[in-house]
Amino acid sequence: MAEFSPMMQHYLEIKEKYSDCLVFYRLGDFYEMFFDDAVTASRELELTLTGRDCGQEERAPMCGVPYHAADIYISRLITKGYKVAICEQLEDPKKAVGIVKRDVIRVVTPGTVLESNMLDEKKNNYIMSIYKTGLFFGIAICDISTGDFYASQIKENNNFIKLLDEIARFTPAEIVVNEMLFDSTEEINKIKERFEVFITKQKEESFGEDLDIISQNFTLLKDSEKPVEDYKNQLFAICAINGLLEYLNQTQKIKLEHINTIHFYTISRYMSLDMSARRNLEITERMRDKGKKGTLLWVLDKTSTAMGGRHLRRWLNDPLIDVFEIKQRLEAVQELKDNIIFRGDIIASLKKVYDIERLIGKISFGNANGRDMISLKNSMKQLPELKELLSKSKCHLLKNLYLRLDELKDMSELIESAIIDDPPISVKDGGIIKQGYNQDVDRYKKATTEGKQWIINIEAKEKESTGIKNMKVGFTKVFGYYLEVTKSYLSLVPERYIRKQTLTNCERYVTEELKEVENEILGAEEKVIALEYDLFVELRSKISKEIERIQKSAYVVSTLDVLCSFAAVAEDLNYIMPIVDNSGEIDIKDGRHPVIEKMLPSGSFVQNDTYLNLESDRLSIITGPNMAGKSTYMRQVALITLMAQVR
Amino acid sequence: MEVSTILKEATSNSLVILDEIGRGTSTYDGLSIAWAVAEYIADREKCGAKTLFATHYHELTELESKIEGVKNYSIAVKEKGEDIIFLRKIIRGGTDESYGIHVAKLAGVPNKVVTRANEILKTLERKITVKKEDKKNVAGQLDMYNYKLAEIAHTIDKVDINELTPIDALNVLVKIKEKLK
Repeated sequence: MAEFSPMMQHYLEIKEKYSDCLVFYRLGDFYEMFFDDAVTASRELELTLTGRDCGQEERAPMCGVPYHAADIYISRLITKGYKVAICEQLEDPKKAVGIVKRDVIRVVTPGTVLESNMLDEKKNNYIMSIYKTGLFFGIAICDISTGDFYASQIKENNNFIKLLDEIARFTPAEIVVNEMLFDSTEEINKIKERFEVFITKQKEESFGEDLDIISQNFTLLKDSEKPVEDYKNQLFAICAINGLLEYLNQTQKIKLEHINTIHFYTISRYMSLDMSARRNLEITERMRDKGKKGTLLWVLDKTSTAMGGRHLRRWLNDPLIDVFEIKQRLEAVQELKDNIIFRGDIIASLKKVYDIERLIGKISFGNANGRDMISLKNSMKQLPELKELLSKSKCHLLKNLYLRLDELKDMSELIESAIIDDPPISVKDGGIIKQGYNQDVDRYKKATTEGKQWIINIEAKEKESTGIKNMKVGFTKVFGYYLEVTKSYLSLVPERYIRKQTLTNCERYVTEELKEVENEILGAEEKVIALEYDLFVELRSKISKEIERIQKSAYVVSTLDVLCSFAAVAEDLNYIMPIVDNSGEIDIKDGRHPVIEKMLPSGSFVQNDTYLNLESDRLSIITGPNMAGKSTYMRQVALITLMAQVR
Repeated sequence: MEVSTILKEATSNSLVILDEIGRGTSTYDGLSIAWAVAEYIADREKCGAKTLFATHYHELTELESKIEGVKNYSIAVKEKGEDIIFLRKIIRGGTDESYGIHVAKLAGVPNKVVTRANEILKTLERKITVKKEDKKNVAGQLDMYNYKLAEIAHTIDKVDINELTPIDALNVLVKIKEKLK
């Protein structure tokens, strides 16, 4: 049997390493797939299947997609449940000796997509890792597009049910599990039955107990935002974190600066809502079509930013149980509700804020372009105004947001000084850096635009100083710029002239000055593009170093956005502030089902009271014929209770 | 599975919503389960959670007089000729077999609701006819037909075969036939 061609041998090596992925192998302007991958991809993406010589008698099946359109094809494969390994050319093919060096730079999986066309802007895209050991579970959850990272563990009885509840809380796109869980077929099947989720098995060794790497690279926080001290109690969570980090390393291949803080949460901190309660109450997803319309989220979402939208979804999924915390939120909403002008000003400012969290995600991944920088700058420019507005607030939570809001003036000024207001999409074609930011860039740019004039000026100057009246400047590809002097004037040629070429009736010279100008002009275009790119990358990494500061401000902005949204909804729909305490009483006067009320013609919903306590009124038996509204009534009580504890 | 989770996890800090539990099992099993669950939840030592419990088994309203802390509520219904109007209002007290008893007290329902309620009612009646034809399909939410079945099952269950004379048995059969009318 004949040997495979060298390129094909390399391809097969890569494919063996990434056997569970479709390998997108970069060849020139295309990503190609071979053999079984090609057959699969051509079927799934409706691509023409061709062949390629591979050194064997038979040609290898092949199909490919142009590199500039790869995102769309990748996203289609991901939604169909495939993983895609992107194998890139690592050197310029023009300069390469032998076969071009190629390697996998990233593996795209449902839980690690970054392409904005695959992400819902108002929804976190989580990847979760689950570490099963004996009776316990450790879990770690990350949204790599925003950098959010959580971890917890489930040690209670009945813990598989609790695990399902946690999966329902985050609804991850992908779950990474250790071997013990993967081999527990019954449990895996239960997860698959209940959730549309991609499950990946990860080697047991990845789920190590090692704490050093985690504690050196991440800030570890508890529920109370205080640092974690007692790690021994967090062992299972740590194993899950290690497993997840290892998987992210394998797939993303670079250190992600924006993932820098891990929040250890205790499950009991939040209202425990089991999976079927979440589903039946249709808090963020409709039972029928998983859509947002017709859910509580749909009624309550008046957020102005994508970050706020995601934050609101998180709050709805994690209602609080601490009375003090709840009251702080309620007070803030009340202040914003009562003070319409204050709220209006804040909302006007929020509307100008882009998705800072995902922008810095892009910066951290090194694929933010000039336009992303401008979006970031414009967003940051709203911060001083928001800070000024917040300074007038009276309640504890808003004051706290005021104190935590970093205006990031240095960052926005840095971008302002460096990047032009309307940069191109590509970062490699120049035209990004603003005039005045870098002397070399300015000089090169001047050289390209004003070069002709410089040459004309030199010609004029030389004519004058030498008295050679018919001296001409010319240009050839071989010799570059020269000064041409006819034989009759040769006596006037000064010594500093360097002869380049002799023709029948004239001589061609260069001068030091002309050489310099020539260098400047000829290299300028290439140099400026390279330099602009370097400066851009430098700027990007400067900002990358300040990511934690930016994230903190983004958190303040999104929290404020959610509070404003609640205030606006409360005003529009006539909601009142509940009194929340630990008395164990539920006392609702004229309660309404928020979603059904909104779907019915205004004013037609019939309000109902509810009274329950821990003594005389614990269990209400509700009878009545079908369709009379029993279910609506009961759900309304549940939703009102939930809303009271969300804000 | 969901009810079992609730019973295991719920505490006096919980709000429990039970919507027609026992559905999907045979009617009489359903009633027994519903009864037992209600008793368990109402027991403050075992659970004591605040609970809203919607049910078709009007037998459960007996619990109000048996267990402290249980209160009966019903959704008001108004009979108007052949039509039943849903008032959507929750009122104190249970329903018995006829829907109309509490209804006379209520008034002042917007016309829109009445019209809509009539529409819904018509759909409901149509549903019941369909189900009568398709007697195998008795699972799902209880309607009037299933409700009768529940009563019959209840009657049969109350019979003590050891004590039953042939005459009594005939009488029971008559009762059952009566109910089927």
